[in-house]
Amino acid sequence: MPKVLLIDDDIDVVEAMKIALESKGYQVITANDGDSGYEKAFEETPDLIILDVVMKTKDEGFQTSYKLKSSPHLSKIPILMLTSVGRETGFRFNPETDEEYLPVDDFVEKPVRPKELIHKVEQLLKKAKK
Amino acid sequence: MNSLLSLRSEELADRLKWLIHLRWTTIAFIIIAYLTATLVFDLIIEPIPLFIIIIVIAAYNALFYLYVKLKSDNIKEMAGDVAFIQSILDIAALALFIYFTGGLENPFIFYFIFHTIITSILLPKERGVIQAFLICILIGLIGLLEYKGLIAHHPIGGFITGGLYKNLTYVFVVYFTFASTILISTFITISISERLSRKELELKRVSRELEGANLKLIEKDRLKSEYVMMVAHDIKSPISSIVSMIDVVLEGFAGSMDDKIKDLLSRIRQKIVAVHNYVSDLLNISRIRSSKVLNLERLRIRGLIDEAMDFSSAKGEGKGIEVKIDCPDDIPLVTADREQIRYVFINLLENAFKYTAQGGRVWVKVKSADDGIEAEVGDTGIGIPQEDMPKIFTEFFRGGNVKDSTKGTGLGLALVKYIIERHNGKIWVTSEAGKGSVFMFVLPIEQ
Repeated sequence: MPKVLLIDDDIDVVEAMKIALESKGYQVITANDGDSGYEKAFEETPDLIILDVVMKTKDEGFQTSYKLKSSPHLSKIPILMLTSVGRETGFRFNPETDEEYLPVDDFVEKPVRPKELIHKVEQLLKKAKK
Repeated sequence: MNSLLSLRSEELADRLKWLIHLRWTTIAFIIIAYLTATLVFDLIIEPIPLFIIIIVIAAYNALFYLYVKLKSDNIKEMAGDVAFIQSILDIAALALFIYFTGGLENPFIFYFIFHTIITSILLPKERGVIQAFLICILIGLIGLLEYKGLIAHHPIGGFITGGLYKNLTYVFVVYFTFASTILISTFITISISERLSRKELELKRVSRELEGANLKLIEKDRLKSEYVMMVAHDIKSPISSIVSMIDVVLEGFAGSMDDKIKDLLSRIRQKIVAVHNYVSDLLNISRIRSSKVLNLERLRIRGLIDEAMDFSSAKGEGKGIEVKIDCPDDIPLVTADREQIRYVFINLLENAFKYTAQGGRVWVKVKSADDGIEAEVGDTGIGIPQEDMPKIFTEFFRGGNVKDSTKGTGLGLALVKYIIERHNGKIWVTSEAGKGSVFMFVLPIEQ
């Protein structure tokens, strides 16, 4: 079964997402900050990474995504980014127009419904396989 | 006093051109007066000295005209001196004119009053007094020297016969009346214009103070918004976690539960989601209000509308609402803050979808307006009651017909209005309860 790495500093959110994903049979590993997430990604080579934006700093998730995508070993792993900054203002999250700035594969806004999360994960994995 | 002077020199710079025009008018007036006197009243005036004087006045007026034109950048510092020199030259020219047209026998000597009033208004007090005394001395000298026979008398032929200039009583009375009139009008003018200047200065000071206070208030308001933003942000993220966890339980991922627990949990979710949305709105409004500058870029409105439509149409899902976007391709690009204008469309469209019933219509129409665009977001929804119309854009206000039936914070439209006005636009609404609402706004193309 595919392996999913969850990186979020909110352990409750991590727990909730873990339960949802595991119920669908995914193997879930977790990390609570960008650096340990990056290390975990290296050790475990997951099939997909779910990454929160705002952790210790406002853009920790962005920094981590750059690091992940610029590593030859990890650059192929799809990243699903969790945002809580809101829909209209602040950072911009349009994968079509912002791809060159943000090397992530999809976005989902917090709080994300478990079904939507699972759906997005399935989609990304399917795309990655092709 | 310094500021009084600077105020005056500022005014003077504006008035120098006006003075030059006035001088051309005076020249015309002298010529007309000469022609009337000689042709209509058959008076005899020596033409040559008169025309030499006119040419001299015209010559220095032309010089001043050029000077003002060439030095228009730094005329302010020099304006006071330039005006004073002009005034002295004018006095000399007019005195010569009077001398060659009968001296104290010429009733036009009283026209010096206009000169002294104008210069007393425009020049500093001391210089006003100096020019007034100069007028009195020059006219006095003409009268005295003519009386003593030290200079030739140039009479207006056919006007006064018998040489009043030799009549001591006449010379004394006319000169006394003249000099006192000049001096008294000068002092009155100076005292009135000083008082006015002081008042004007006081007004300027007060308005500067008000401006400063206003800027401080704006900054305070911005800081308040920043504070609200921080608080809202900190509240939002645990709420978001709570919702995530409830969803996992509610959707059965953590095991089954009986219906009663499920029902209670759904209610908890509803309440907490309402709080979440409220905090999100608060976060949006405070983020936009606390930002110091607009993030300007050239925007294609059609693209923004499509994005906003994608986002908002969820609110109307399953209601079979007919959607129409009418935005011609030749609508010009608009310089504005992308996120903020997108928010405007999202908010107006979400409202439109939210308050429109099964089978209704929602539309967006954009057209070019004077130096901008005019956009319209309309629906056939529940509309706004007449009595609520004036308050519809007020923060935390919610219409009487939606307060209980639908969730909302009353912040959205307030923020929409704030954004449009910050972009120097205007927003208004027409609506009829039960029939629908149309929100319209104009945005300038450039900021």
